[in-house]
Amino acid sequence: MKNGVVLLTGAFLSLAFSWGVLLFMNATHPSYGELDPHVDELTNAYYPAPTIGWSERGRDVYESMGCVACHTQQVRRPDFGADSARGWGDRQSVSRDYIGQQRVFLGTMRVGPDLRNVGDREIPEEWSHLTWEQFHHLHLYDPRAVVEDSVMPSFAFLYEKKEIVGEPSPEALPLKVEEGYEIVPSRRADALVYYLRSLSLAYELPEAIPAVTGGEGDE
Amino acid sequence: MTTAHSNVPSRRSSPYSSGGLSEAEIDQSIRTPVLFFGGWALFWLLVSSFFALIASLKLHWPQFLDGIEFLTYGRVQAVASSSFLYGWTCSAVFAVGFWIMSRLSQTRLRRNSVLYIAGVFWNLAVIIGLLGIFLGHTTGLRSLEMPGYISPVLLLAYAMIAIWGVFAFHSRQYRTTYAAQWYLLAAFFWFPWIYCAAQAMLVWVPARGTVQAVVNAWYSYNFFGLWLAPVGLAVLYYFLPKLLGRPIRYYYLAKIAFWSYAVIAPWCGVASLSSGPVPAWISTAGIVAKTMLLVPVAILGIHFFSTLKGGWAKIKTSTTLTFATVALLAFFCAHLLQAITAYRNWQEILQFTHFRTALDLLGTYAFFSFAIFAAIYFLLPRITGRGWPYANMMKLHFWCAAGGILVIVLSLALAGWVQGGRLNDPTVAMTDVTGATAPWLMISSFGWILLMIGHIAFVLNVLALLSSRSISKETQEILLSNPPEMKVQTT
Repeated sequence: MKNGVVLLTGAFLSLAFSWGVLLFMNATHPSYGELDPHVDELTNAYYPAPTIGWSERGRDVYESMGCVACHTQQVRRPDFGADSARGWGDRQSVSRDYIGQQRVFLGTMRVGPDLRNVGDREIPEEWSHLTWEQFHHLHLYDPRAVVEDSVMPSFAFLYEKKEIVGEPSPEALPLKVEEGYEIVPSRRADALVYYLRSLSLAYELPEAIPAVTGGEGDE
Repeated sequence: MTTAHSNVPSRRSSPYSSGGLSEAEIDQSIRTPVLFFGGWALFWLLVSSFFALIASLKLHWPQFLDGIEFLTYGRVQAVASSSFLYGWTCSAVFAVGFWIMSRLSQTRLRRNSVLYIAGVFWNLAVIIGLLGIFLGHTTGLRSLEMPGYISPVLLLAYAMIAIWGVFAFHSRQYRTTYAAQWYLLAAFFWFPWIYCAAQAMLVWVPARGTVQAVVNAWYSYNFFGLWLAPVGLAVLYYFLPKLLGRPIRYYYLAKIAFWSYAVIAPWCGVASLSSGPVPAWISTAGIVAKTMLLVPVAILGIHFFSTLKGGWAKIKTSTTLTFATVALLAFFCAHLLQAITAYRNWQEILQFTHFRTALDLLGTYAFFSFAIFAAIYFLLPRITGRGWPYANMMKLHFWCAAGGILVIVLSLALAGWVQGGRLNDPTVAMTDVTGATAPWLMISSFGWILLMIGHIAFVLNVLALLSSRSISKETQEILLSNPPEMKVQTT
């Protein structure tokens, strides 16, 4: 090979081929990169529902804490792994589920459970005296208080210890701290839990109907 | 001075006869840039292995440094990965890539302050990027964790750095080129493109929905496949014939290997999206590509192993060859395992596990970083005119690095296997999954400690070399000149 121009042109074309097909074509494809929400004909409602500001704020917290290092947000199809059997979602998550998200956290690692449908999941029975939000605040504040052998980091720095003035805050965590004090979520913790609650697959899309048996579609 | 210092052993594997500049003159001219970027690279090597150790400990010992916002696992892990990729590997490419390019092109690197200014800006951008991660500005994107606001600086600095590599190629003394130059030039060209494409479609104007995941998987693999791997291959192409004193066997296949690699490798990354919420053909294309990539990999194997054949005894005598041989073995293991485990029946188990980290490290550390170590052991005495002061430190570095990475790769692969198998069994609780991986993760932390010791020994040895007195011209001639069988036979 004597000619640098040939080399660079070749290098350009080889990468352009993969870039053009995998990235450009997909990003501009009407039924993938430019997918629109599904409109329910009866109710005129949009699915997935547009995200709301407060959950976007929570998404920022999720991003900044690097949660994606240990949690995926994708439910694989029922015959591929045990995602559904673990109760992570009744149906596979499909590309339309993500179109409203400014940044998509599909993730590549499952040290912890999948979170794509966490907002729709029941909390463990022994904690049923708490609300969904309270449970998750408690879990974020001290994971090992809720799940004994959890390896999740504590996010106690998202919570504030406050003196009780008048009535105790309705948001206070169900924890015993010194007399006259309570632990309350900061705005960031509130936003994060709000975001987690918004992660839900509890709606139907024409291309993703909850599977009764495994094995539909081979890919 | 001319024939004795010729570049590569025979005319078959290299088009050069020696003329013009001697190797010593070239080494002189590039001395400061190599030391400059090499210094940054070593600094980042220490930084990244330190944070990688902390991250590894946190995985099985959650109480360790717990509850501190800037040291939460997600951030430490992102810092470890970014300082490794943008600190260590990039600076190492600049140092070693430039040196090989200058030598093969037989050109001097002209004195230029732009290179250093750009280098300082690159590294400042990385420092700011890492601080940004600590402060929570991370993007959460694989291999692109540093905040988006530093990417214009990185790109600009990169352009001003890489242009010198292109200049070196352009002003080469001989029109004919050697395989190492193809890979280097292509890598210099590919990196800014994949980086721009990923930044544009993920950070500047994010693509909609899971297209982002496609872009991220594409970039994350290509950072290795189109940026680090070509440089590692250039190192092997350069050093194996040089140190073994024999040409690359079947060199006529080199072109086929290069072009098939260039066409296939950019497709491999998307294989990891198996069964995700992306069109299925995308990951199928990736699986096909990873399998087809075995063609260029096999050709490269025929090249390097048949060149090594009969020369195994020599490996022990040269530190550079020892490191290069490990790199070579890792290159094959990595690609073979990548191809096998890309298939969906394997992905069903291994997709979201530590196994993936093990494979990544096999490529970026055991292959790429070992190739860089090999090159540094060779080039540093030559550009400085000083000998390596402590042979024991070299041994310590080798055994800690080789042992450490072996321990890490094996333990993470086993951890991934255990983790994947149990995740797919819905009767096993999540805490039992993490519990079952914990012993293996603990072993991997020991591996990181070994690596850390190796890196410290390496850096100390480099510092001792730099502060030692230069050896006399006569000794240099004997120690640093090429062995007799490497001198060009003029026909």
